[in-house]
This record gives sequence, structure tokens and C-alpha cells, in this order.
Amino acid sequence: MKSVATNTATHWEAAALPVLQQLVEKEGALRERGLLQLGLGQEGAKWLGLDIDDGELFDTLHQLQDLGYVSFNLTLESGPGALFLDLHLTGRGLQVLGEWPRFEAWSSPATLAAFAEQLAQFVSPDDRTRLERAAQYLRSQASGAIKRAAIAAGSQMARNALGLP
Amino acid sequence: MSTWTESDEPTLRWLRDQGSSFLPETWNLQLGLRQSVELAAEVPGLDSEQMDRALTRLHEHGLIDGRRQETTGYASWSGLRITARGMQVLGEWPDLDQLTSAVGMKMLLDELAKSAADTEDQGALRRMVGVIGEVGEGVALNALNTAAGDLGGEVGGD
Repeated sequence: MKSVATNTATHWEAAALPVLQQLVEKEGALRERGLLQLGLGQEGAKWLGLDIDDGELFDTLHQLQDLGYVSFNLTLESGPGALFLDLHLTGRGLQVLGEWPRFEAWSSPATLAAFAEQLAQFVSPDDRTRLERAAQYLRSQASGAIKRAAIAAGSQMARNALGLP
Repeated sequence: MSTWTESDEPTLRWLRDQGSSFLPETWNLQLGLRQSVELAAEVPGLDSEQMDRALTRLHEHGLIDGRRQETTGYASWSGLRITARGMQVLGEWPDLDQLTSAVGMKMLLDELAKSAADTEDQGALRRMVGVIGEVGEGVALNALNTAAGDLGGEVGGD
């Protein structure tokens, strides 16, 4: 076992999203090669242009498969090593790549502030003042802080769905 | 305190902090049961049997993947890894389907309200959550799309 390096970015931004992006970038080369090899001496992550090790790529590809974002046939070898055959993004994976910029736009301080102002049209003058204050507050926030809050909110929703605190 | 906070979440976080269980070296986890119970070195405060039960519950919830085999005195876990759902629960992966919904918006604003230092800012953000509920999902998503459209890009809403 070894420790995984941690930093302030979420695993999604540090590993999963780059993997999806590089699978698109290297689609032609991957098809020509026929497989992605991970393991000792293979440096599959490096070949894909990723700044993670093969072990992290191995796990990340499985996690992306959990959500149906990628598809592959896997052969495990002693060594250990792994052959990912017919590795490709699914339609859902491509959709997510399209959704991520939308999510980033959606969670930007400017969009959320403008959203508060839009909602202010539907409320009483008293509430309008409060929504204008909300807009002012949202505009003052850093986009990274809002994105982290959005991912934390998603985590809470996932916990709620499972009945976890 | 609950089983989740004392046992299962620390076990999930421990697993997140390990490298792959397959590359560059394959590792298994052996946990003593019954007469072989011992303190679990991996998660402070748990013994090996409690950790095995935590892994079993996490597996049943779909938050981890792995294979468990049991002998008289030991449970052996191989192929352990956190699933995408587990990463979402830990706040490491977004749930894009949920986040681009009215419920997601409300949860986000609630999360921001929790971290706002000023009580009036907290109140303003919580009122915004209330207004989203009052106008309904359709109107809220339209308003969000208008806001985003004004800034150069449509978001959410389908």
C-alpha cells in the first residue's frame, strides 16, 4: 500500500476529469494501439498525457466505469499489469464532459448573483432587499469556494439518499 | 456519534488514502475475527472485526468494491477500491445530475449560508432557498438560464 498525494483540488478535478479529457484527446491513437497497458514499465498514464501514476489511473477508470462514463474490457496479468481493451468514452461520458463547463458556469459567482437578481423579480419588496443582499454576497465569493461548496452539497445529497448523516 | 461517523466514514477515508490495491503492487487486507481479533492498525479506535464489519456495510451500500473471503480466524479483502458513489459521498466527485437541478441549487445555497460569517448574509441566502421552493423548479431553472445566458452561456435545465 502507498499513500496517495493529496492537494486542495478534488479527486474529480485532479484525476477523473483529466482522464476523461485525455481519452478524447487520444481517441485516435488509442484506437490505433488497440489497448491501454498499465503496470510495471508500461507508463500507461504517462502515455495518455496524465500526471498521475498507473495505479491511480487503474482505480479512476473503474470509478468512471461505475457511472457509465467509460467502457472497456479488462485483462489482469501477474506482474501485476492490466490491459484495457476497447477503452472508450460512452455517450454519457461525452455528455458529462459537456456538462462540466456548464456546471462551472452555473457555479460561478457572477451567474449565481445574477440568478438571485432574476429571482428578485418574483418576490415582495422586503424579500427583494434580501435577495439583493444575497446577490451582493454571492458576487463577493471566490469561484473556487463556490465550486467546493457545490461539490460538498452534492456529497450531502448522496449521503441523504443513502440515509447517512 | 454514530456507526457512520465512528466506524464507516473513517474506514472509507482510510481506503481513499491508500493507493490502488492492484498497481504497482497487489495488496490484500487480512482482518482477524473471533479469537484472532486485534486492534486495527489502519483505523484508530477500531478492532479488526469492527473494521471488517465497516467494510461489509460500505460494500453493501455500494461505496466500495472488493471481494471478501472468510476463514476460521480471518476475513481477507482483495481488490478493494472506492466506487464513484463513495467518492461522491466523500465530496471528491460531483454528482452532476443532482447539482444542476433546483434541489442541487438549494443545497448549494444552504452550504454557502453555513459558511457565511454574517447572519444577515446567512438569512439572505436562506431566503433565496425559500424563494426557489416557492416559485418552483421550472421558474427557478428558467431564471438560472436567463442569468447564465446574460453572462454568455446557458446552464442546467434539462
